Amino acid sequence: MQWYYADAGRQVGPVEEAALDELVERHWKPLFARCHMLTLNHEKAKDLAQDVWRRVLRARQSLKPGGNFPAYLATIATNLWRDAHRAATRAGPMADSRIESLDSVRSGDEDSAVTLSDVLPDLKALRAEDQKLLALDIDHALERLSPLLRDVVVSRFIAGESCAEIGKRYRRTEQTVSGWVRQALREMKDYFVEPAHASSVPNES
Amino acid sequence: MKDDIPIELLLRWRFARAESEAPPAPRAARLIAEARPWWETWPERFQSLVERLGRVQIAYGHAMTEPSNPRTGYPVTAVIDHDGQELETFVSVLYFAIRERRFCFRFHLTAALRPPVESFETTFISKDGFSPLLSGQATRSVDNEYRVDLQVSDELARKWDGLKVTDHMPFRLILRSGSSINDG
Repeated sequence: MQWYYADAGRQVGPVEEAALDELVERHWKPLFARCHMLTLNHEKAKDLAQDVWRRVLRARQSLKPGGNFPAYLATIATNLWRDAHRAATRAGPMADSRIESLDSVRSGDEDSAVTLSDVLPDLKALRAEDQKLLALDIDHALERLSPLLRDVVVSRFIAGESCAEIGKRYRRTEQTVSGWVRQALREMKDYFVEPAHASSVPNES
Repeated sequence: MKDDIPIELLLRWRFARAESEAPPAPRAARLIAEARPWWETWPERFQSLVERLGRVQIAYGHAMTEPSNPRTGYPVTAVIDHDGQELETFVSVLYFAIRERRFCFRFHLTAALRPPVESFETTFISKDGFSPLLSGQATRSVDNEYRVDLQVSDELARKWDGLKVTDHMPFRLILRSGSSINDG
């Protein structure tokens, strides 16, 4: 049996199982990490990442050569995660009304490079146990974001998508997406400055 | 004194940590087996359901020529495979759109299952050759309404582009509930 794939800068062609193993291996870690940032759960991230590959294999005949394969994987991951979330919550935070309510850009908070100088110590200086706690805190901060904002902030800062690119995906303006990014950052910052969470981060003294 | 750490940096740090915690990549052989469509895994079951679909078409052919409702158009033949039973029914198409190879489809299921089935693996079968065209999950939205949102091939997108809810649909449906999926 022959399977087909498209990878960045490569010709589409038949590959054997070993080649597919290599392809999966090459993209697995970043895909898993992306899925983890969305699901915030190790097992769910693993399931989602595997679902992405199954989807890729089913759609292999419609793959186009020369595309950005990692971005393609990330897009499938996001779509699957969003669909699953929609199905689970029906009219939850991802409902259109929720998206509409975020359309208006909030002013007076232009600082997208939010800093936490009074809250967080140098990452490099953290001990293993503290790193674990910080990872949990980041997960909790992400968890408090609506699915829309979580996807936007991951797309913007992990995948490096521009606000215009994200806006195209959501059929919203670049300005609207900038507003979403600022709101997500503000909400995350608010989480970290809450006394309960700030105190869980070890102080350097 | 603490260093300034932007949220962006925290997210990248978390991402890198998640990468380092990634489980081993799944083997290609397993992914290939799992990605294989059900009609290839269980060809006899598929054949049985397709034959059933064909019989529905013959038995209710006359009804299929009349739109069931001016707003929803012609009924589409469907066979439900649920809890080991096959049920012949129709669906009314409520929404049909293809945009940038994204196929959005909503339908109302005539048969009322109790308790309602939350999702069906929906297989679109060509009207002419009774061959499988595509498959995906249809999730229940309200009452007996279900929605499908799938990426389709360029070829299918071209073929179905311009179809309206009120047109004859070029497919029939096989709806398999979760209880039937694992049994073939």
